[in-house]
Amino acid sequence: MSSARENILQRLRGASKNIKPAPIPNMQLPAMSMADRLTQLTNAMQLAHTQIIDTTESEWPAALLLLASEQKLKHWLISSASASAQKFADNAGLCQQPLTLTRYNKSFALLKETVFHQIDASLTDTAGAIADTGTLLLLPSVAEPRAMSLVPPVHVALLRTSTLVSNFNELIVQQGWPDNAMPTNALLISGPSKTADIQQTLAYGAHGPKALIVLLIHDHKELDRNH
Amino acid sequence: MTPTFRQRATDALADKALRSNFRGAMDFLREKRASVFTDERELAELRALGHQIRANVLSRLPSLLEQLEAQCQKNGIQVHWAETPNEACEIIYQIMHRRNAKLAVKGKSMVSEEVGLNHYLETRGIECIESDMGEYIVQLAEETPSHIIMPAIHKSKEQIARLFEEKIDGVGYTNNVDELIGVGRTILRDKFFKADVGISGVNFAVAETGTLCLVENEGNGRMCTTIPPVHIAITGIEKVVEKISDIPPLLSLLTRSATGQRITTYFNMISSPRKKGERDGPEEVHLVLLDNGRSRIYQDTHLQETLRCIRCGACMNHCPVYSRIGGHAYGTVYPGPIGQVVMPQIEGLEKHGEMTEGCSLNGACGEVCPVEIPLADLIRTLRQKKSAAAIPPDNRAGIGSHRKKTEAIAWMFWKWVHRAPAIYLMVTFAISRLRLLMPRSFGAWTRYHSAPKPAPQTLHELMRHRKQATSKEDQL
Ligand code: SF4
Repeated sequence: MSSARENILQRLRGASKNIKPAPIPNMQLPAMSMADRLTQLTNAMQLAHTQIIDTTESEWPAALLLLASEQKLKHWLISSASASAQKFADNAGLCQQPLTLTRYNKSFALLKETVFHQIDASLTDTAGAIADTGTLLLLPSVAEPRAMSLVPPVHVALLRTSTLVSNFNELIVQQGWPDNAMPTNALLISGPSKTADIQQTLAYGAHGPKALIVLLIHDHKELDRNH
Repeated sequence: MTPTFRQRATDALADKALRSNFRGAMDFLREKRASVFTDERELAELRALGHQIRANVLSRLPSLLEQLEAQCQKNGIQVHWAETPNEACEIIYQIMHRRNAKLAVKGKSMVSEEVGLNHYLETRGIECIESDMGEYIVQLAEETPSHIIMPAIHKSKEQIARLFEEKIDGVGYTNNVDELIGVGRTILRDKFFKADVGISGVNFAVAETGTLCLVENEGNGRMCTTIPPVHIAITGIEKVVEKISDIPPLLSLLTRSATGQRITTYFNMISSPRKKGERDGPEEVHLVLLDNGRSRIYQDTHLQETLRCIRCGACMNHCPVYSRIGGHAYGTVYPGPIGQVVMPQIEGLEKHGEMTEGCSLNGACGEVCPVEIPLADLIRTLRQKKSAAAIPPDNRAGIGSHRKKTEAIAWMFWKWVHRAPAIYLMVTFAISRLRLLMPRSFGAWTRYHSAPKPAPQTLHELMRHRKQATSKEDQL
């Protein structure tokens, strides 16, 4: 290939012989009990201005409809195929105010105008969460593309407590990386978009969502609850 | 002629508004960092771990770069290598040219500043908009960043309010930060919508998986890497990390050291362009690996420690010099302690040797550095090199370029005196007896200090007298 590549590598190879790798110290982070994980997650999320709504598998659609009518979120962007999106669609008629649901079922180029200029909120699933830092893991997919958690002004995410891990290391184990190939895009999201670039004053809604709302579905088993 | 580091520092010290903007910002960042590192032991362990992970990367740098390249290519990311800033700019320009691109949006990337990308593209008819709020402000003001993490740290909100009023059509004066950010959001959203290409930096590039990791709070980094049809990432060759499992400790060290956050809002891991069937994300992803002197730094096992840097900015936040003179006084892309180490090595001591003198060697920078880079030691080494007597035949590094005759003679005399006890005694005796003849002024030193006054007797004499006195007492 290019000579730049060869030149750079050659210079590096010439010198790297003099350096020996050293063993990396093992730093074990304590695993938390489910109760601690929940407390830590809630604390960290509140600190970052993430709203949490505690709910259950059967009650979340009602909680979502209440949220939509309270915050006047009329036009929603939802997945083209997920079970959650279907559940939302099935219940949408019960909302106090009429809702428009747009399914992300076309390529971005065709939906761009709508996504940027007309959507009030989006609903996505999550693949897990880190208690330590109050962080959601999103793995955008064909059914739930990347822009869903980025462009709409409000992002509502469904999180099941059974997927909650203590820290980032555990998340990597949970996802089976790197043995399972990394997805196109994996995202750790820890709050609404923000900036402190003007005189260290914190402002929310810099470029991404102004609000991040988590519907926390308590679905972990009793065994974990008593842990 | 461009002003020297000394002149710029002197001007900055006299600028009251600038001093107070930096003081406020430095206090804020130091407190924030301290608030998330409350457990001393954990901090020590974590820094040792960060040090080791980065040192191991360096020990295998060439093979890790090859692995990164192979993995990226396997994932569909195109990899380019650039030895110089010009090569890097040209590679990026050619990608854009091929796509007939006219507008680029850019996320925060110090490497893109290092290569002067905006200017290069501008002269070729491509508009390149900074989208990080701080960078956007700096670009609007036609300035350069004064901090590697918080680019507009030198400005107060009132100054930014006036800037917006002056430069943006239809915007009146407001010093309400939410409103100012709202203005930026509206303008930049339109740019993300229209942009042909998104450009970003990289915080960590994982060799094992071919993953590009980006750390940010605003979401502009995600916009740049998601919305436009092409994403070009540019980074230095030292940013590679071996394994995905190395990321958690490095990320924790980075965000806690930089802004005192346990994690940033977004940690974006990109492993491929849009796959078949996927509905958004860029169709092309490019990675530009820049050398620009890094492989030269790599040759010296001591100076090589520079390359462990994860660009957190903590060293500048804790530097007593940086916090008083600010980032622009250095006149370089990277300011503060890490800048004093990087810039003279990249662009030569002849050009940037002077900035190594803006340091009291207090060592605060090295104490907070998350990967334990001995910054003060490195600065001292560079000082020695800039004043060295022996000049190598190939002297691109600028060794000895700042050697001063008077300084060299003074040190030669000092060495001669201190090596021979008889001469030492004679000279110190003479100085103590001729003390009244000492000059009152020693140039720069006596501008802020009183002139040294030798004692009437030498230390040796005093000790001898004391010994005689005690032995007399003993006899009594
Ligand atoms: S030298 Fe250390 S403290 Fe300074 S920016 Fe680099 S990693 Fe941070």
